[in-house]
Amino acid sequence: MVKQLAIRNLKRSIQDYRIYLFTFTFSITIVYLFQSLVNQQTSIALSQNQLGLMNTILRALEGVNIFVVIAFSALLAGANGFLLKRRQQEFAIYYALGMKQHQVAQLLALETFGTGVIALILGIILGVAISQIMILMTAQLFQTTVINYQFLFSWIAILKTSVYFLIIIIGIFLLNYWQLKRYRITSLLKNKQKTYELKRVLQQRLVLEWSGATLLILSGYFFLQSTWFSKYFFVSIIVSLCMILTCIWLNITSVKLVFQLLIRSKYHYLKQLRFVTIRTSWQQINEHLWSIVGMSLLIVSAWSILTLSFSYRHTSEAVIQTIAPYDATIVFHSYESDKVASPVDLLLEKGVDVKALGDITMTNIYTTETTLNDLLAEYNMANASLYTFFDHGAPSFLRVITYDDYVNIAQLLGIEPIRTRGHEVLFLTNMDDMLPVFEDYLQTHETIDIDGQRYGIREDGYIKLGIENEDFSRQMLIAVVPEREAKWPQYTTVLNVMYDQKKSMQAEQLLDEMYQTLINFDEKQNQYDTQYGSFSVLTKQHVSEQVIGETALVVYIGMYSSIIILLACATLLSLHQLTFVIERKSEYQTLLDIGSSKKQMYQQLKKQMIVYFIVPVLLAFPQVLAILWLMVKLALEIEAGSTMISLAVSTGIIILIIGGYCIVSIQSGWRMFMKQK
Amino acid sequence: MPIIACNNICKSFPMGKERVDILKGISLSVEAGEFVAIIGESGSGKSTFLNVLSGIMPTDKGEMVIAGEHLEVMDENQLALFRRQYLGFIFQSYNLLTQLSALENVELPLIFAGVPKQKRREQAKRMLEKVGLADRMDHLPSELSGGQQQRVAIARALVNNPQVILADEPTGNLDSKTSIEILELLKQLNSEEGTTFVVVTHSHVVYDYADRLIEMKDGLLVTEGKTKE
Repeated sequence: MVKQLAIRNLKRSIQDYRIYLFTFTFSITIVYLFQSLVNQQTSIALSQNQLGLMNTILRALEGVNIFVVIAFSALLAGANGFLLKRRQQEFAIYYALGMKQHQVAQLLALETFGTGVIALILGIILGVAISQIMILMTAQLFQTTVINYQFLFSWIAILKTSVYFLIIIIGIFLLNYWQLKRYRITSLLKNKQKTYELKRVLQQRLVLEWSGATLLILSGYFFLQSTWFSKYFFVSIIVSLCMILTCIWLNITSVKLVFQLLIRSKYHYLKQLRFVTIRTSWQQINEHLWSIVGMSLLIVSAWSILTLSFSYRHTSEAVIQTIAPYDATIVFHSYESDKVASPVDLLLEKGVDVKALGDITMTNIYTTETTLNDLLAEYNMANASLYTFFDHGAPSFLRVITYDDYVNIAQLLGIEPIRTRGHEVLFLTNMDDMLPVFEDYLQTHETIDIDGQRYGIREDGYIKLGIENEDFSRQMLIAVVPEREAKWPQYTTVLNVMYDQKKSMQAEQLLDEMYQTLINFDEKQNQYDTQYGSFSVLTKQHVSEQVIGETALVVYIGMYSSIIILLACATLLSLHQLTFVIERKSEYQTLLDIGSSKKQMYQQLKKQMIVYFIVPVLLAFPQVLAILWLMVKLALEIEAGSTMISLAVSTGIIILIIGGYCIVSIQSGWRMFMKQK
Repeated sequence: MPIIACNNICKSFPMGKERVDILKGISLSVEAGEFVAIIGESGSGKSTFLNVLSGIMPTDKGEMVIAGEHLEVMDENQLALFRRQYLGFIFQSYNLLTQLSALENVELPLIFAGVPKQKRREQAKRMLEKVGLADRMDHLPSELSGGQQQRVAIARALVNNPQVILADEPTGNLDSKTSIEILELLKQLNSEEGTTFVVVTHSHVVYDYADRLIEMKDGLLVTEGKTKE
C-alpha cells in the first residue's frame, strides 16, 4: 500500500513541481559537467604548462565541490522542507487513518529516493550530452583548438556525482524524518487555513529609515573617497562592510517606499487591475521579506563572482602585452655584485646561443638603498591599491638602470627613446596604478634624492615600460640614470630577446626546454648552474599560457559557483510562487466568477510573478555596483572598463536563468490553476 | 417573460470509469424581481445547479436562457462577458481578496466591465454606503467581522447593477443574528433595486425571506411552493 501511495504521490508532485525536479536534474548535470572536465584533456591541444594548469583547475574544483554539495544540500533541503510543510495536512490524514510513523517515514523515503533517482538518471544523461559541447568552451578558454575529438563519457564522474547526490538525498530524508517526528496530529490538523494579513507600514517611519540609510551610505562614500581611506585601511574595510549592510537596508526600505508610493499614486494605482498586482506583490514580499533579502544577497554574490571572473579574464588578457613585452627574457642572478662573467658567454657554454635567437639587449639592474616608501609614501594616497606594497611586507628598494641600457630596450621594442640632459633621470614602470602616484609626486618635485645624490627629473619623464617579462606586473619604479652615475651594487642582468621571425619556433622550443628544466627542479637543473650565478627564463608564450590558464581557472570556478547559487534562488522563488497559486486558488477562481476573462487572469498571474522575481534582482543590483566599485578601487587586476562589459555579460546570464525560471513558473502556475479549477 | 428559463438541464461527472449524473433534467423558470431559495440536503446537486446557472460549469444537455441570452451556445469569453453584465455572486466564505481593501474588492467587477476609474470608485463607495459599511471602506477583510465581510461581498455582487444575484449559502459561515441581518439586507436590496435573487441554502431562516422555495433531491427539483403559503 505504501509503495502504491508513494508512486501516486511521486507522479503528482512531479506534475505539480516540475521546477523542483528540473532543478534537481540540472544541478546533477552541472556537477557531472565539471567532474568530467578531466576527460577533456585528451581532446584539446594543450601545452605542458596548460596541462599543469588544467590539473590545478581540477584540484581547485575538487575543493569547490565541497561548497557545491553544501549549497545543493541547503537548496534541496530548503525546497523539500517547503514542500513538506505544504503537505502537513496530508500527513495528519495519514495518521488519522491509522498509519504509523514508520510507515509515513517509509512513504517519504520512497518519494525522496524516487525523485532523486529520476533526477540522477536524467541529470547524467543531460550532462553527458552537454559535455560534448562544453569541450568547445574549454578550448576557447585556453585559446586552443579541439584535436582528436572522441565521445566523452566518464564513469568516474558518474560515480562521484552519484555519491555526492546520494549523500544529499540521504541528508534530505533524515531532515524530513526529523521534521516529521516533530509533527503532532492535532497541530497538523489545526494548520488548515492560512490567513493573510497585509502588514501596514508607517510611512513616516519608512521615510525616516530611507533617509537614514541614504545618509549613512553617502557618509561612507565620502569617507572612502577621503585620504582617511588609505591611512586607516582596516577601518575602511569595516566601513565598506557596513556600507554593504546599509545598502541592503536601503534597498529594503526603498522597495517598501516604492510600493507605498505606488499605492498612493492614484493615477498608476487605479489603472485597470494594477492595484491587484501591486497589493498582491506587496503582500507576498512582506510575507517572505527575509527570504527575499537572503536571495538578493545570494544573487549579489553570484552576480559579483560572475562579473569579476569575466572581468579578470578581459583584464588579464589585455595585460599580457604590458607584463611581457619581449619574446623572451633571461635573467642572470649573480652571486656577487662584481661583474665577473658575461651571461651571454655563460649561456653559450651551456649550449644556448642567445645571440642566434634574434635581437637581444643586455640590461644591468642596480639596487639602491632608497625605498619606495621613503620617496612616495605621502603620494600613494591617490591609489589605495598600492598601499599594501609600500607599507607592508619587505621594503621595496628603488632599482636603477643606465640610460644607454634604456635606449637599447626602447630600440628593441621599436619605440623612440626619450632624451635626457646632464644630471636628469627618467622613471619606468609597468604598473598602471603607479603612474598617477608619480604624477602627484611631480606636482611638487622637480628633483629626486637617491641615496643622498640629487637628480633633476626630466619633464614628463615617467614612462609605462617594463624592463623584463614578468607573469605579474611588479615593476613599481625603475630609475634611468646617466651611465657614469651607476655606482650601486649590481646583482641582476636581464637579457631581453625579440626572436628572429625565421627561427622563432626553434627559439621558443629551446627556451621552453630551459624553462621546464629550471622550474621543475629535476636532475637536469644543474645543466644551467654556473659558479657565478643562476638563470631564470620567461617567454611571452609562458606568460600568455599562465595568464590564460589562471583566467580559465577563475572563470570556471566563478561560473560553477554562480550558476549553482542562481539555480538555488530561482528555484526557491519559483516554489514560493507555485505554492502561492495553490493556496490562493479560491481567490483566482473568485476573479473568474465575478467576470474576469481568462486572458485577464493570466495577465494578472504573469505580472505578479514577474514582480516577485524582479524584486530580489533589483535589490541586488545596487549592491553589486557597490562591490564592483570597491573591487576596482582595491584590486590591482580589475579594470573599470572591462568590468562594465563583464557586468553586461553577467547581467545577461542572470536574466537568462532568473527570467527562464520566471517564464516556466508562469506557465506551470497557470497550468496548475487551470487543472485545479 | 421570465428572467431565468432552464429546460431539461443535465450534468454528469466522471467517477472512475463511470459517469455519475448530478443534475437529471432540471427545468425552472424565475421571474424578474423574484427571491428564490433552493434548498436540499448535501449532495442533492444545489451548488452544481448554481454553477451551471452562472455558466461557470457547462451543461451536458438542456437549454439555459438568462435575460434572453442562451448560455449553452456561448464560449468562455462570451460567458465571462455575460457574467460581468448580468450576474452577481455571493459565496459562503465571502471570497474577498484578502490583500485588497473593502472598497477595492467592490471595485473589481467594475474594472472587468471597463468602467472609468473615477466613476467606478464613486459607484463602489455608494454601494458600500448602501450595505452599511461607509466607515469601513479602507479596511482589509482581516480587519472586518464575518458579517461585515459578507456585506462587502454583497456590495461587490450588486455594484454593476446585475439583473440576477446568485448566492451560494450566503449565511453558511455566520451566526444566527448576523444571518438575519444579512438576509434582511438581501431582501431590502431585492425590494429596492428589483434584482432577482437565487439563493442556495440549508438554512431554515431563509424560508421567511424567499418568495418561492424550491427543493432539490437527487439532481431533480422535487417540490416548489411559495413560502408564505
